Amino acid sequence: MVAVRGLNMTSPSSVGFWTLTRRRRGTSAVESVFLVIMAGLLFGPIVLLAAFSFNDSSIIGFPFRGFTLDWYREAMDESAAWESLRASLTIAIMVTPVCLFLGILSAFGLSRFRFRFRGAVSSFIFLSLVIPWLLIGVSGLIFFSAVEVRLSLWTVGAMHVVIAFPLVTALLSAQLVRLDPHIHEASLDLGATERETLRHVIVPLLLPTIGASAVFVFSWSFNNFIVSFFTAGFDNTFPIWVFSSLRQAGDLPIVNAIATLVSFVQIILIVGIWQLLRIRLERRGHDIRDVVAGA
Amino acid sequence: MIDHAALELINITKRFGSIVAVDSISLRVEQGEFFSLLGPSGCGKSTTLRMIAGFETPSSGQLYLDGQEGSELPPFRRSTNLVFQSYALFPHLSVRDNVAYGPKRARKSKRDIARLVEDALRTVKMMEYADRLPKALSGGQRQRVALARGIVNRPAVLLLDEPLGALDLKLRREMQIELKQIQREVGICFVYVTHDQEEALTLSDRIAVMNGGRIEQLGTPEEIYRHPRTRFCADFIGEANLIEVTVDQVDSGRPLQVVLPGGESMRVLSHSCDGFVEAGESATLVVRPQHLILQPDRSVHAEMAGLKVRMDNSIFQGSVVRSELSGVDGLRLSALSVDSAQVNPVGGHPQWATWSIHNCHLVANKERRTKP
Amino acid sequence: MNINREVESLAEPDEAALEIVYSGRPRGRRWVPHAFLATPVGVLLTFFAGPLIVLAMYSFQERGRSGDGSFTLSNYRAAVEPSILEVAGSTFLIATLSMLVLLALAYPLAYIIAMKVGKWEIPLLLALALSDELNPLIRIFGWRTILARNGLVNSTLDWIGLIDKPMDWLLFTKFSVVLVLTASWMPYAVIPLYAAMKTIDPRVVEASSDLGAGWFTTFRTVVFPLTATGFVATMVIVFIPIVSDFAAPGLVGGTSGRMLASVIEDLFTRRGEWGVGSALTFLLLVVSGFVVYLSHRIANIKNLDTST
Repeated sequence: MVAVRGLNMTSPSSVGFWTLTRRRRGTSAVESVFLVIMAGLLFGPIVLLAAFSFNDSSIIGFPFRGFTLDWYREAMDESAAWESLRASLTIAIMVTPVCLFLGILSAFGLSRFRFRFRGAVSSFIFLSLVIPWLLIGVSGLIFFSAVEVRLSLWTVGAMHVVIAFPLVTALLSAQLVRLDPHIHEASLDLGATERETLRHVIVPLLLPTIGASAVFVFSWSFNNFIVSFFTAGFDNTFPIWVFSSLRQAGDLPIVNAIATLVSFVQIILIVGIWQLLRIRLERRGHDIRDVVAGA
Repeated sequence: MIDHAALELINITKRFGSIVAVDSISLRVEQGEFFSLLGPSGCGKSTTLRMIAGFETPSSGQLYLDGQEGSELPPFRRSTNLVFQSYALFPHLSVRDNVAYGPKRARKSKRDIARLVEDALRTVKMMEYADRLPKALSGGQRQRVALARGIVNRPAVLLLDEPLGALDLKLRREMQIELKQIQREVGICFVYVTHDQEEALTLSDRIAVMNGGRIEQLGTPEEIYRHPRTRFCADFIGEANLIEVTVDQVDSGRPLQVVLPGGESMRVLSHSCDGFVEAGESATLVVRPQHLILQPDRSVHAEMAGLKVRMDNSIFQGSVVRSELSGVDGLRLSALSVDSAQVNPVGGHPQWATWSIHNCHLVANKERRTKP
Repeated sequence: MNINREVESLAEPDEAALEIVYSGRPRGRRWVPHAFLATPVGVLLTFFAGPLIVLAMYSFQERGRSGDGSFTLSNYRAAVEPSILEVAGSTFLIATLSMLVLLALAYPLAYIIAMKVGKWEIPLLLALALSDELNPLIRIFGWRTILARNGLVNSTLDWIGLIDKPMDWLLFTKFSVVLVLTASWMPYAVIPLYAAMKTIDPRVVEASSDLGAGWFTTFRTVVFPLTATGFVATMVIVFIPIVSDFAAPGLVGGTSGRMLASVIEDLFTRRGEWGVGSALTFLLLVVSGFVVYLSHRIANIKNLDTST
């Protein structure tokens, strides 16, 4: 039963390990320190970059020489960076709906029907989640040259679709499997056609998962470096621009200012969207933990 | 005014590959009747229900709903509604919207929908929870909402698939009584699937006892309890002592004579063996535990039959005392007697278990195909 | 009431396309699932399988890019020359080290999030998801500024007078690559481990301590065996991307922290050796796939008597 219902079944962590071994509830001091270290590992670099983006020094490091917004002012003139940002955003905005469309189609096809070769088809779709991005990027490079398609942001977009839509398939299939099959039958039984059932029951129940998938896909595409690197030709996406700037080790404080701006916007957007999804999910009796763990 | 049955099945068969899940069953359920399909798991009752609801198509046979042939209709075009064991409430809709789902799909006017939903919720006493989400309700409350969602469409037949299965015993008893009241009130024909014989006896106007894809017996609870047609029915409905006997004499116009394991001969007044037993064959005598009387000696009485038994165990159960007995050839019996401060001695002397020949029933051992 | 909907419903031609499985058996037409799957599978065949096949062909063809197409194994011979093998060795060393450090940190983190933090569970989980959704290149940039010769660590220690000359081993070494890889792939390790721990019925843990087991015994005999499968799955999930990572060794690896992905990049973008590059890419996939398969096998044998 636990396996079927997944996370919903297990009670929240308050009935955790330590309460049962007669320790006090919650984290111990050691654990709290561990959590802080892990947070430092995950977010420290970005926070420090942000702090030093206001330092009046061309070297990113101590001592702190004074507050300045000069790097941000100079960043405004860094047209290559803004160009690459625009390219990354455009690709992500175009890739996301395509991935949602393909992901929804394939998730329904895989989880709502039983047919011959179903196992083979599903393995094939999920294979692209296991194959390293390096391989996908390199093979894309050779492939487009073999079929004589000039590398551009279009080829980057096509490869992003390939690496990202199976993620949507995975998230949605997991959610579809979790749905009580009787809910679907109940809708038919109450006089709804298949189409009405889809519209009034299935899609509303899947909507938060579709939203979460969109966040993941958008981020994957926006952040992807390795596949873009091999398939972008002479075009730049934002991660490629960061990479080449770091390799050349040019005006790093300017790169820092731009990176900080980008991270800031990302954090605001992602936290906001997750919060929204969390509320929607909870209203539908789902648990956001299922969606995150599904990823 | 209405002269057709709410539901009629004629020779309905359902095969899954080589397995016959439902084997040519026929039954007729009247308007406003509370009808139960009772049987152990795997007896075909749920498949039957799913065929009535339209989730399975019969392999052969006809199905009439409110007088119309409907075995091929998809679920959303049938005048049936189903209450699922898991309730299957829509988790994203409030109680009100769950109940309004059916009327909305039928394109009723807003005012009609509001009125119907309110009626249904009042019937199940859930009006004050109308704006809650299902996850904020208890099991019993969800059960009521599922019921309201089923009756709001005024279906010709409301199907209930073990609806009380997930509730605890006390709540279950309460809901049984209420379910019966609601059924009377709304006057809709209920077809109720359960494996709980006590529940079926409590609720039903009529019961179809199913076993191995077939209907073993169809009748009122009392008929089935008092006059089981088969050994299976006798054993499954209520508690029964099954005593193997040999038929001594089959003579039309005169009562059957059987020989009990102890060698004693007995007249049978009630049986369902016509044409199924010959002299010399074995048959099964059904004696309910409360009809067994324990006596220290065999009192000779023409209206009483008896077996020599030994007391194995005597269990105090509150209002009754249960005695576990063993007889010849490993025969095991149990007797229920009203608690009378008199404790039966365990072990020790042999005793006599006797019963009135008016309080027993004979069934054939041969398997029979029932055509109700 | 439902019956009068019949006419309308029959008029919907694509009703069959949405016909769904009743009770696990197919109903509706054969082509229906294919209508759903044709486009996604087509996209994958074109832009996923197609490129992989072209890559495989290149790896077996004479002179790669401008080759005459005749079959050869020379690309594979060139891909296992000593200088590349040396990098391959350090690649697997770095990847294995990173994976071990990663699991050593991710397992307790997943455990704390799943079992101990109470109301902080969801925020912490979302923080993990967030860290995954931030730009990895920016994070690497951050690490570089922290670890560089004149970076935060060295300048801080110098500033407060603990050192008088900068520590050089911080950046462009195997250490920096392992550190950055560990930090970069953390969410990918924690989340599956967390999911595995969440499937444990708390009452099982309760039962164990009720039977007198201390917390370590409970952990060793109950929690770990129940998450062993998830543990192995996590190893698989993180090993392949780590072994083929490019950004981290490329930016913080220098020469001592060089990994195969950099060699592959070099072969493709600077030296134009597409044939050798393809062969090396394929070898990387095959060898890392084999390593994963092996660890899976070993774990499966070990799990036979402990997993549920």
